[in-house]
Amino acid sequence: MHRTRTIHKAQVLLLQLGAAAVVLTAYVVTFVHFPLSPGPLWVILPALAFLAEFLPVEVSRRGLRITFTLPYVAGMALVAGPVGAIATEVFATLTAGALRSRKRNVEPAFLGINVAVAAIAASAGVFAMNAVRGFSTRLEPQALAFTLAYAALNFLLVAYVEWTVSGRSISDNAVRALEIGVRSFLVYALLVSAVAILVKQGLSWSIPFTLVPVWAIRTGLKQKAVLHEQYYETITALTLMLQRAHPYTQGHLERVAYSAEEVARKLGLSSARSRLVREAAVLHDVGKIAVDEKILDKPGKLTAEEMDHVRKHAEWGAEILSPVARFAPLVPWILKHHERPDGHGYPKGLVLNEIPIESRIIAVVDAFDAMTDSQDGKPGRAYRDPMTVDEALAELDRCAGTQFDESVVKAFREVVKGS
Amino acid sequence: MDLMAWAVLAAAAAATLWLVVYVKIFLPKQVEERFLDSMSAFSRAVELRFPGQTHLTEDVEALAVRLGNELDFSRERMRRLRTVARLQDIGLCALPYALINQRPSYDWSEAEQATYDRHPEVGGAMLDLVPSLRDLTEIVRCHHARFDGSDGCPSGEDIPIEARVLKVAVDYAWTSRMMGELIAQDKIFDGKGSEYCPAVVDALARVLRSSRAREIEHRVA
Repeated sequence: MHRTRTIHKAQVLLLQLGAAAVVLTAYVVTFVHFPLSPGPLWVILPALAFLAEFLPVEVSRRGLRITFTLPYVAGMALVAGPVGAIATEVFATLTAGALRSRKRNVEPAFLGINVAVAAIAASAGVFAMNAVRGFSTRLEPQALAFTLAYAALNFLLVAYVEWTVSGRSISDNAVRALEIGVRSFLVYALLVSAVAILVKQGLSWSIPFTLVPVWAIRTGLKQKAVLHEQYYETITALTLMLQRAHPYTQGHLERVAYSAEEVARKLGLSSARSRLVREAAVLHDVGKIAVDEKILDKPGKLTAEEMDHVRKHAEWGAEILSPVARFAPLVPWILKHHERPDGHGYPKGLVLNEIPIESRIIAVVDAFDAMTDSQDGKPGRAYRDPMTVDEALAELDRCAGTQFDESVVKAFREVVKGS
Repeated sequence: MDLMAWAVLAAAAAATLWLVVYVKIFLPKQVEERFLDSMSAFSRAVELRFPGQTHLTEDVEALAVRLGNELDFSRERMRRLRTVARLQDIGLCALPYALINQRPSYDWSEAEQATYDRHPEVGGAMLDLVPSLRDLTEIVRCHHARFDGSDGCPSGEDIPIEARVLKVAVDYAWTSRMMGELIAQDKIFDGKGSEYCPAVVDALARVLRSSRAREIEHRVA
């Protein structure tokens, strides 16, 4: 279901971008003249562009484009003119992409989108380069203008594609793409200038060496992706452990994570932070791995001693997560997710302003899900029958200001009511 | 070529050099460190659930690493050994809390003992669900396997070497904590060839000899 929707969106995108690419390319071919004589570089540069795209290092997970061909396409624009540049770009993206996607089972629509994006970005580069040619005959400024326009367009289009496909706010994707973009842009600007100089000096034999930094960037991006994956897999594995220790938490965690992120957005937290809140919500009860499941599931009232034992889970959760560097921001939130604005919470009895907003969000979302959880007929939380949504919301309102933060309860009501 | 061109080329070369060093040396190190860090989250969780095991993981890992060195483990093998040392017992979190914490093991019924004996399998099944840990499944599944064969596991040289090392390390660390080093040594050396892999037991003997020598040196000094 989700997958077909994604493919449908991708096809619409492909139509839009493909049309734009065809129009731009036709314009460049017809109107931008740039007479140059053929040389060995007409073969070397496209070959390098192909290799840069084809290097056997996996990077992007969904098959969206991070450009590696730029230095060689810019070089082509200098020695073979705009048509050569666009042709090189389309050739490299299409052939390398097709060869790689056969191995990785990538949706063909995404390959088409990548080619269209590549063609549009290259055309933009050509226009910018032509504009600079009016002022300067030196090659370096022309190459830089090409790079700048190319990178800007590529960045905008990738953000647009991500936004259309994922449905997340555009600023989100823009920030992410920009992070990757700015850093690699500096390296690319250097590389493009270097290629331009080597071309001008006739040192074509040395141009293949520029593949080394391109390979390094690719390897680096791959390792960053590994770090990212490890992080999420650690979360998964910890959740698995928790579910092994206490089977009732299944489903609960997913719902809590989803609503926590939505509430965080509603309260105006940045989207990066909201995502952290989501992860904290998944892990908030991880300390319950160390709690006796008999006591958690015990019907009726707990003794003071048992209560103390259960209440330890907030501290234990923080302790379990503390060895992992990337969990550092989550640790205090999880430690304090049972604190109450009126100071009657645990473990420290902090008051409203001392409790992080993220902890207050988790407290509300967690309580709501615990109240409404029906467990599909399986033995659920042993101490009460599930409430309806309205009853639970009324209960949250009743406790707002004492047990829960009023503003969070208000935002949560809006999320639940879907406004 | 003018000065500007030389400067650009030099900068590009420097950037390339830095990139290669970063990507080949610093990043892999960071990836590995982060990975081991997250593994200690798992051992921390098991130790919190079963406080009787506090710091046992550290002892086991230290001993396992020394055995691995003694057996000339490759870098990759050593990485796997250290990783599994930290997460071998994640299957324990599926065991009833009371069984481990409130009842001594000699008091267990047969059914309870069977529940305990399933924890390597449960742990292995959990790892199977996590793509980057899947290659460790077999080691975790066999980390209590007897060398001369036991239910559901291969025997002899078919047990992954990492698992054979861990079995010796775990049993030695555990017994020497409960009953003292001498009894632990007896247990391991008596089990050579039946319960434990002979090569690993020999490695343990060498490790113990060298640490005893160091101890005597200390005392003399």
